[in-house]
Amino acid sequence: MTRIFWIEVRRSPLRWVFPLLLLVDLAALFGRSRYWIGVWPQASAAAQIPAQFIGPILAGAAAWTAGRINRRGLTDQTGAAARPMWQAELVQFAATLTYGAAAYLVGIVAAAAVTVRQAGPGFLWPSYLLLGLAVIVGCAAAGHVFGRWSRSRIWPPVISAIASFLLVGWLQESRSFAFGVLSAGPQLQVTRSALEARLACAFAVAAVAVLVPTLAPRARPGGYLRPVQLLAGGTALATLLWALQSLAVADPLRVQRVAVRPLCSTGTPNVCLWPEDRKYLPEIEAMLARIRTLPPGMFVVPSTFFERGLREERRGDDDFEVIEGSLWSISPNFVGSIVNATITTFCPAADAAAEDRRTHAYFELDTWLEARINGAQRPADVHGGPPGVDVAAVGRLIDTPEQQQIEWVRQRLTTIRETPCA
Amino acid sequence: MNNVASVSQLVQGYGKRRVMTGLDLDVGVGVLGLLGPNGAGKTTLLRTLATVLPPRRGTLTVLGERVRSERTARRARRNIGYLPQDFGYFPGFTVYDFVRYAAWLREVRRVDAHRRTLDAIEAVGLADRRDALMKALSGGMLRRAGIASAIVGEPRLLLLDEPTVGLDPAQRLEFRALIRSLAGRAVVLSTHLVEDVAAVCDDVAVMNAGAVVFRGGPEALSSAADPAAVGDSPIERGYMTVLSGEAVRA
Repeated sequence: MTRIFWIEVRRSPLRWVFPLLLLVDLAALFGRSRYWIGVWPQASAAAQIPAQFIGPILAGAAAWTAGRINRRGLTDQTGAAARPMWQAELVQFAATLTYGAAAYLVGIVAAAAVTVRQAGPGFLWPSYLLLGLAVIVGCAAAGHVFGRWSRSRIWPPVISAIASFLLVGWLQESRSFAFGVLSAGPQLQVTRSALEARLACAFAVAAVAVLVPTLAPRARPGGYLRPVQLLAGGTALATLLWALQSLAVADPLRVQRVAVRPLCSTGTPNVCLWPEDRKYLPEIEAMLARIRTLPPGMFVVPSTFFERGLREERRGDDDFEVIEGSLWSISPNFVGSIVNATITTFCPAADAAAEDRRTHAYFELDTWLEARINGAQRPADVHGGPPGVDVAAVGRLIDTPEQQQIEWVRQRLTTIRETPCA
Repeated sequence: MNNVASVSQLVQGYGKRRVMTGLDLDVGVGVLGLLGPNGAGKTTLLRTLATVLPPRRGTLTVLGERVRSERTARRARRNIGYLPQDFGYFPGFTVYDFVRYAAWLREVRRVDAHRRTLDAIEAVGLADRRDALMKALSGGMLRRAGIASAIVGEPRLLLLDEPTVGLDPAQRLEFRALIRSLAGRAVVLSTHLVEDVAAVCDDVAVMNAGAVVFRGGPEALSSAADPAAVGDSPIERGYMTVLSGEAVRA
């Protein structure tokens, strides 16, 4: 069978589609974003995302390839074969899958190659890669089934590709049934049962693909098959139902990862990160250095800032998370920790006007601290910010003389502290 | 065993349409020409013998075993080579790939597959084109490649459905020589070209409207000719006489 498999691989129409698969894979990998480079779990998620694009293309190509036997008039020749038809289907399907998996693998190798220099010890997380593989196997199998069953030349590839694309997107939205992730921080991990259920679903559809000529009389003439059809049909249906049931009762796709020994910087304050996020350490240390230059006596700074997931949830309300590689996503948590440590008492204000003044002072102080910690004004591509605050004007303050900033901060702290309680 | 395959009281059809009712035919070693006009049921009979189309009623026996299940059909298929009229091929395959694939489908043992593939290609005179792509072959070469795919397992029963359709006269002469070289096995050659039968067949069955209306040697068919029948040769006139007699009888 190996020899025939290689003949199929060498002669498969997929060899013409392979460059497209490769192009789409690399475009989806590098064209969407680059923040994942240097962080193993993020690189794993990034390497898995192209599966959601090459899967539908592969579904269309698989439908076209599977239709060859009908299209090229080999139905009678294969119908007169002594070899069980599922073996011929398996070889053809395996060749199709080889092209999809090869394109996917190239993306994985590329993701690993660009990550290894910055990321340090570790490697890509197989769980995310297997999620992508499930998408590729499932899409190829669905396309194969449709292409083999239908007599049409055009519709099976078109419908398979579009339907797979929509289905993958819809499942992604549904969360409980998602077959992929868009990003992957180190504090999360894929659950074993969810991964197994998704792989089971994909391979159940693949089993149906391999059995389709036995299941569908249109795909192969021969009433001799009837008892075999019942057995194969029953088995395929049972496998598919079992896989879907596994998917329905599986754990959530991802859960919090058990904390590991963190990577901590030296000095006071310091920061503790998931080791996988080590590439951010130099920039975060620069932020810590700027925190050390805050006006003395005005702020209370925690001794350690933790990345989310490294300590109990109860203590980690202000623990930070690096979202899609943006260090600006860290500073609000740093600011929150500092402000909460500095202003420890809180009471409802005496009236709405006082409450508004205090809230506005909080917002301005937060904005100034954020700019100060980042050593820059908020970039244009970082959206949001507190309501009613001129973010740009407050950001410009960090370029003014230190004494002027101290006076400005003191006014806000006074407003906050001297707001009369109800 | 002289009787390689037989059908008995065969009822066959497509959907609600019956194309044969109670047909009997024995196939022995030698070349049996299956003659008949379009729609006579030749292809249906060959598909039945190839176990592609199970009998609706009646029996099919191949090498002494009645074919009644997928398991017995698979056993029979190991001994059957079948070339459909419009046989299919993957244009991107080479001749070698195509014949090797056919060997694999026929479950030729892995250790023998390569040698038997080369033997079959050699037998049809395509040894020098074995690495040529199927799509690059002429009509005659394609037919020869098709026959190589049918004989690759050294089947004891070879079923060829209209193998000379589309061939030019020179290619047809080559083809006849090839068929003669296949002596020693049971060959059923379906055709509507009477001169092919005269040239290569030991035995002739004329089919019309799903029934065998004549069975005998080519000479017997020639001697059945009505001098007034249309045709350029005695066997053509014999064929037309048999068909018109059948028409009168019907």
